[in-house]
Amino acid sequence: MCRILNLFLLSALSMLLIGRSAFATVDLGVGVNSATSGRVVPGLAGAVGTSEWIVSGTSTGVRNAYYYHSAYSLAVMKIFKVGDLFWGPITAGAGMGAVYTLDGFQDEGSSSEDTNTSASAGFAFKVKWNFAGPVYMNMEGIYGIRDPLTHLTSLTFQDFVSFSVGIGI
Amino acid sequence: MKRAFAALMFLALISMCEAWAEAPTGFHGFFGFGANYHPGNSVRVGWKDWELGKLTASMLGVDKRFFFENIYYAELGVGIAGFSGASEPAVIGGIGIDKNMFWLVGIRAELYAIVNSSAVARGEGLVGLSIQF
Repeated sequence: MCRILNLFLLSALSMLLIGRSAFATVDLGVGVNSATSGRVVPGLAGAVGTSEWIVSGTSTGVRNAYYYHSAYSLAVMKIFKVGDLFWGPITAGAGMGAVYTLDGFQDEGSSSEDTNTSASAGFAFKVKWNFAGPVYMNMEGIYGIRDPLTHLTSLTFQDFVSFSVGIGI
Repeated sequence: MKRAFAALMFLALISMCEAWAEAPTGFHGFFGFGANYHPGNSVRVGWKDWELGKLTASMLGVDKRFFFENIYYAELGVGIAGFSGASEPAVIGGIGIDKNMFWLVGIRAELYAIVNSSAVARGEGLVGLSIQF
């Protein structure tokens, strides 16, 4: 999944650089997300799609001599042009998404590595503001659900939140 | 079990009620329940598309709502969010539904996402009562 997602983001980058594609929407940005919440760890965030539907993804990670942590998300959303905020248009999206994380830790002197993976899927949304032409600010959330009744009765989710600034064509 | 019943009743009410004809055209307010249905996690007052107040349990600020498909809305706002004791500038985005029940009172629910200037990010849900004049 990680390779597929990185390929997806690289595709978005190449389409952005080439400047022409069959897609009505090609976005690529950098930002932070809740997988590394509280640390300013930059991640990639991009989207490709038509004027009505997009596939959106993020990729981020951190690594040092002792541990690594990576997180990836992918979402499919229907797009709505909902209005303007001051001088720039607002685009909203609603759909479904999934998040996948993996991390590993190897203590000093230890020969074994502890690894862990997790995944969740659920409702997804985005709100994008093109505040300077093609330059945008994007908020995106994926609300993973494992036990629908528990989430519904507590209003809490396995939330994944992404904030990015980027450029789109 | 009680909370599950209340949640199912909430969904039933949403599906049964008539919708407002359009987005707010005057003053409006919102009293929201947050995580674990804690009351008063969100208390907002507004004029037309704009609203301000306690946007979530951890954020004070102002936001603008953008209605689409009649009763659905997206929101984007800024404010001060306090996580782990520190209050910092933050951005909020969300998506929700605001639907009339009777007279001036409606039922409103939203999912929101917040990121502050230290890259602390989180998302939760709100449900509550809205009022439009």
